[in-house]
Amino acid sequence: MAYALSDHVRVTAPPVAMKIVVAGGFAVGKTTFIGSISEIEPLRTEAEMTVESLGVDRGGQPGKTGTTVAMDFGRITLGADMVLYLFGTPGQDRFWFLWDELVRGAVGGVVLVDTRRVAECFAAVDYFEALGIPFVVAVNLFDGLATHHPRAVREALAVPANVPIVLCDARRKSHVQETLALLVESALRRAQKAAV
Amino acid sequence: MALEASVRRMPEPAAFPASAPPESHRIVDLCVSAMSLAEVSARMLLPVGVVRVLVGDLVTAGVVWVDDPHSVEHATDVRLLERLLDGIRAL
Repeated sequence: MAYALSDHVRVTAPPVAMKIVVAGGFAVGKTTFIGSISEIEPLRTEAEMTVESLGVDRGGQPGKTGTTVAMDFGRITLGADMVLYLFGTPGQDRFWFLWDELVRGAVGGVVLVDTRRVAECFAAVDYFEALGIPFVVAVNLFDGLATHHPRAVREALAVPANVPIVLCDARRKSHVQETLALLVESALRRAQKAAV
Repeated sequence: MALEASVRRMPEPAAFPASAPPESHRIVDLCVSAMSLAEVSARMLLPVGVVRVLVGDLVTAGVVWVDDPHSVEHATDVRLLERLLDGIRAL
């Protein structure tokens, strides 16, 4: 919706904004991932977000409180009329899945995995699955070496067969690019199915 | 107003409200060409919530306008996803 745009003033339409969320455990390389492909240095901002309090029965009304969290983001201009924003999940990563605002309207998510601490990304995987939004699992190659086979990671995370798993050195733009393309392909297939 | 909503100065902005704080002038300077709400917040070192309020006031005053991106519909739009994929591959 355009606010306060008077009819007689002609303004070129702003580019279409698309959004991808980068999730994963603490220090797994999210900011590196974003920085490898962003046209700006990853920026950090603070946002107030509604956090559902933990430890509430599923059946009951979850309590909600506001909290301020820091998150990183980057921007990629794709031609004259599209901008892609990459948002890294904020602060206390194990609670990241509660921050719905970040995920609303996202094309999908990238779950970055450190194979030394696979368990830290369970929450992200569960959340994307529960929400039903497309995601890919990207195994970050910290030393540029594959220490785990993607199949082993798939088994460890119990990721469904339709979720792509890719090895990705977050420092390398081409790897990040490939990971994002894989995610968008997955989102596109789903959208095409839904459109039929 | 979404984090990725784009804020831009009006081509012919109204007179600045006398009550506007200095931060509002800086927002308008940043938004001569469109800039996302999240980016304005980061560059001003102000929380998103504060920037939302200041931008809202500037919209009411007719100094800037905001394009909220309909991300929810865009995220499942086949044509837009095709363009996004082409764009990423062409980087």
